[in-house]
Amino acid sequence: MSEPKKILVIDDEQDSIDITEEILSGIGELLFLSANNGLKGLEIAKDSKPDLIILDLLMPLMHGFQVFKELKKDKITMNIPVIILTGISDKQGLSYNSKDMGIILGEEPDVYIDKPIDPEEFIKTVSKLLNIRPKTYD
Amino acid sequence: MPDLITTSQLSAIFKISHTINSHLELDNVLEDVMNVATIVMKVEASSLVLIDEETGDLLFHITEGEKAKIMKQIRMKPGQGIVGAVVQTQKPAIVNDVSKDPRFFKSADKKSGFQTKSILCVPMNSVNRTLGAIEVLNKLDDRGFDDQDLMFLEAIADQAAIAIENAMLHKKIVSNERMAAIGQTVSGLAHCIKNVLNGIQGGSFIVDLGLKKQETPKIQKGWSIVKKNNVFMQELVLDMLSYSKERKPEYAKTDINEINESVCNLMEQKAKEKGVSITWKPNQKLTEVEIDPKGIKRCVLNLVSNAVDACENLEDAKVKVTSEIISNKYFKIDISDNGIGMPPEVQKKLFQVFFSTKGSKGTGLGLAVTHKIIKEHGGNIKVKSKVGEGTAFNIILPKKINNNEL
Repeated sequence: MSEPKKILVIDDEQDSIDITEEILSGIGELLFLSANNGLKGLEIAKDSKPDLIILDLLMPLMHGFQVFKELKKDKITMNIPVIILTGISDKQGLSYNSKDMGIILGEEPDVYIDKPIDPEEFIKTVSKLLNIRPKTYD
Repeated sequence: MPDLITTSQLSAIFKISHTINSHLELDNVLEDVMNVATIVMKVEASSLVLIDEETGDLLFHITEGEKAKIMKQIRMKPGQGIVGAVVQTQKPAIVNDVSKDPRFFKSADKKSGFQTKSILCVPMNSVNRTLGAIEVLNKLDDRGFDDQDLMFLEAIADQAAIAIENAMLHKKIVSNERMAAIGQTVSGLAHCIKNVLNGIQGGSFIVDLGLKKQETPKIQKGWSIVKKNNVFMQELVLDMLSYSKERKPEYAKTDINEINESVCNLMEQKAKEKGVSITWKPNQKLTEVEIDPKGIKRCVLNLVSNAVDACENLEDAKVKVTSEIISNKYFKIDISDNGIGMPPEVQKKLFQVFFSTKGSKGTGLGLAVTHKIIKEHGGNIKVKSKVGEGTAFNIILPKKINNNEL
């Protein structure tokens, strides 16, 4: 029996973390880690090397784009797939948003998921990135 | 070689150029220009003709002289009449006896009742396109129009073209700015609403899951998320309305202590959860000030709520609310905390709409609304903050209505 996959959720809102975890519980057995700010998130990412990181953008202390940049800079975390959750609707807005903050991403995140989250779509995307077949909710 | 422009013509050009630079209302400028042209050139009538951008027709936009009003209703086809020919060929025309010129458009005289004898007409161009033409009719002396008149009218046409171009540019800038402001507002709101929707849909999803699995704690958890986001949405709508509407405060005699006490009571639960203590000090001299109690309560609530957020999880975190009379006319409410503080770049953007440092919890409307309500009272809001030490906001308000200067 293989180890359950580890997902790290970085979001300043506990409710959002809960929602993400509940939706993804439909995939099967997963281990969830969470951080309510970017700095903590980076620390946990390095320590526990999750299989996937789900990252919110608008967070106090450290913006999601900054967190993403740091993740991609570090050898330990650079290959972990990242899903960015965002309320900003269009790609143009996103690139404006990152440039406006003086952040040049260099690399694009694996997937952007638009809020409000569509549970089915979200499960499909995460399963694909984790390379597993989703179970249905039982 | 034409004679040089006369002194009176030169001073007229100065006057016109001054008029153009000191007004933004285009038609007023053009009327002034044509009025000066009519007087200085000693003619019976004059018109400024513009090309209709859609049809290419020639419109008598500004008319001076006896039949000016009727002339305004006349439209001419492209190329029609002497003015049409001038616009089309871009060459000025001096016609001292119109009856001998086959280009002359007789119907215009028939319609207006004006009798045209002589015409001087020059094209009016901006840097990159033809705008129309200016014409003056019937020189009052018998000399007829000459090259000197032509030179003068060309100078006027150049000035009028600048005025028209300026006004168009200004209109374009205003409209661009308005569109940009609308765009920013809509995307800011869309972002807030999408976060709320995420809470409502996610919460409902958890409720459904709980119902399916018959797990009450799950249902409770999901339901509390839905409820929280409902309140958030309600607050957002209220803030949006107070931000967007120009409104006068609804004044009533108010005890400031009641506002401060009620805000602190409302915030107590939130403060407790975040390990922050809130204290407020009553002031018996401020029991009858004339303010909009609902509006000011909203301001104090916003500031206390921000102060609590700024202190979250810090040791010995304190938020204080006090009030004080500062002069015969004014009093202040102070909201201070020993929280994380704000760097100068954040302080600069503080009252900007949709600016927030609170991540998805902030709408970026709270302080913008607070600022607006205080300004509507004729008051002021000041902030002092240092990173790592804390923040103090002062709300300064008149004690009585109709005291709008600070």
